[in-house]
Amino acid sequence: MRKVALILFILLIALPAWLGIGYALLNGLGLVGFKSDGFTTDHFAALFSTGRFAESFGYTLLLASGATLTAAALAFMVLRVLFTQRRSVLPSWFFLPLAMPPIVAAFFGFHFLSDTGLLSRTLASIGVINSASDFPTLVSDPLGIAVFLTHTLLSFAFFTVLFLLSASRRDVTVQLDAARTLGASAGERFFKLFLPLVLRRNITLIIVWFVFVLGTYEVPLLLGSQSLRPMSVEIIDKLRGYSLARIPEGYALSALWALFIAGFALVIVQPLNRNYGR
Amino acid sequence: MKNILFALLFVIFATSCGSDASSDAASRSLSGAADASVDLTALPWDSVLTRAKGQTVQLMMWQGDPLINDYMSDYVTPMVKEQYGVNLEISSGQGSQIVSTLLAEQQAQVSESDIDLMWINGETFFQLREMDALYGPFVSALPNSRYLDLDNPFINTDFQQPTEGYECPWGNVQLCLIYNSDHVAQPPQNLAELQEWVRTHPGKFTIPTDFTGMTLLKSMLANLAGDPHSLDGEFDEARYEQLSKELWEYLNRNKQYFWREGRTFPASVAPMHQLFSNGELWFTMSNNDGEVENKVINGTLPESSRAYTFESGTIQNSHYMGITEHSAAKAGAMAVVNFLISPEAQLRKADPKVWGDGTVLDRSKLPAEMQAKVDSLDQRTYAPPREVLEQNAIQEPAPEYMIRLYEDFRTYVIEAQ
Repeated sequence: MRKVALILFILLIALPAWLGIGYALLNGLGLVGFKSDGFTTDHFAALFSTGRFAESFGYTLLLASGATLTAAALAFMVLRVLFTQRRSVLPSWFFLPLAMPPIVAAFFGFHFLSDTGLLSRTLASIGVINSASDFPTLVSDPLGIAVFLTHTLLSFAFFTVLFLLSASRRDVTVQLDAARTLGASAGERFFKLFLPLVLRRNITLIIVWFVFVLGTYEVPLLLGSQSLRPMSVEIIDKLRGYSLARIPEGYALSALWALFIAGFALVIVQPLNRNYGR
Repeated sequence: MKNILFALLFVIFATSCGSDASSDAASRSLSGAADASVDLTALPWDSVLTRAKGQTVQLMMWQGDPLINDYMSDYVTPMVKEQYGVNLEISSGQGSQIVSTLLAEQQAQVSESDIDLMWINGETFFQLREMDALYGPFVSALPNSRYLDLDNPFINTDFQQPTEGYECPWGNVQLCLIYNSDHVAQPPQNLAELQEWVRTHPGKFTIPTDFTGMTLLKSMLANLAGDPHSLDGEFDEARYEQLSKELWEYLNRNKQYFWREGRTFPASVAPMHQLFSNGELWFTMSNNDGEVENKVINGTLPESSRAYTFESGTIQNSHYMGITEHSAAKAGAMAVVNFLISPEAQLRKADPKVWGDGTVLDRSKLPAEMQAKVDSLDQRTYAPPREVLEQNAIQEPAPEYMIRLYEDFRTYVIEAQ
């Protein structure tokens, strides 16, 4: 049974992914594709000829890690409140963002956070700002604040559910009860026992979520800046640009990015999984 | 175990290499397989229509405007069904999406394309011709092509490329700036006046980073050259370098007076229209000189909106219908295009309440009763007549200008903070 599952995994998931990466590499090296002229490293070299690759790479990492860490911290804050109040249930509306596909969240973010959006008009109508135009630029701004906020919102709901499920596991509750019996304060139980336990149990999923945010496309496309863009948007821009000559650059970039993600998973996620299994 | 794995891998490779047509394409070929092997342009039109009957034509087009969508779904689709028995199915996609779809099909050696007909112009036409992805020449085989204004260089030439019957003109438009007449008494007529205006009215003007914005930049390039014909002909690298350098200097000198101090630019005209409507901007723009009419009628833009062109000129261009080389329903696609350039369909499309798209037909070639109908079309309220705007028309330069402007505007203006 395990072997069948492995074969299915290879055929349905691993093989198409690696074939795709292989094709992107070959296209980037000029070996296949429209008007390919044979082996060349020019398309890869072109990626590094300006600082845009490094900027986009750094921005993507910063955006994903910032949104993931902020959302995880917020989720722990919610759990801390629940912990103090000895509650373990949240109202269902709290999890609404979980039902939102990223593109819907992006539209919501646009209509809420844009210069002419709900928030700016509400603040203007109650006199907090003089007019909607005084509202700070959050959408399409150079730092991608709306992108960050939208991803934080989506991640926050996911992490809250994840941590709540962990908190209700029997081994966690047993250890918390034991700590209480031994006289540990609520703060000690939360920070010294609960937090490390939940973190350790979920670290792999947190990192997988981080990888998911690394691949974000719709949210930065709709809410992001025109200049600083994450890798996914850069790749699609090159693949679908007006210049056919630049398509191999898009493939080269997508191959590099996919290999980075695969390497990241190999170096970080796999050892964690191994430890988790012990 | 290893043997089973290798056997499965072999089967996957063998089937993926051997079958270059999907089952979907196979099923579509039932009605139109013969179209690939017959020169439809040499057949009598009746024979083309016989082949077209019952075919399903997949049209890919930009669907970003409800009025255009209504025109296509509520008028064109039922009419081609009624007149030719063609089932028209419309999907959303434009420019780069069409190119990437057809490029992928070419590389996979798909024999029957998923797209039969597409709304294209300029840079997409250039790319598709480079790929040999267009069927043709087919335009002269359409009976209604006798009405086309093919002597007009703004119609027979697309981004400096002769269309040569590989795409059929469908509509003709000119870039217009739209200003709020409640706030702007005398709109700027050239780059020097625009500089003066933005400096005295900071934050009220900007340029979108989409096709429309790039069309304005092309108009500005021609303005800087001092001659509307200065960009005519093949792409001139040295000329582009010289003019674009001046353009980036001009924009960087003035962008601090643009909306949001030029730190960000709208991604398209849609958010610009929104900013214009709520008074944050006093200028927006449109690639279609007739759009201001229908946008005011449907309440998107305020009644104080007025369209105009710089006296120094703006780009006028046409949009076209192209048929894919590997379409399995070429006869059906030709029938649809023939309907689209019929006087009835063009007249309806030109009505500001319907779409407001400029016609590609030559009025003098139309039957007398159609000429009367053209003359009786509602006069424009918010934009000058086409004949007036056309006096300031600049022909589209070669597609390389557009390709370079997209990239360089980002590098030299947006990122040059």
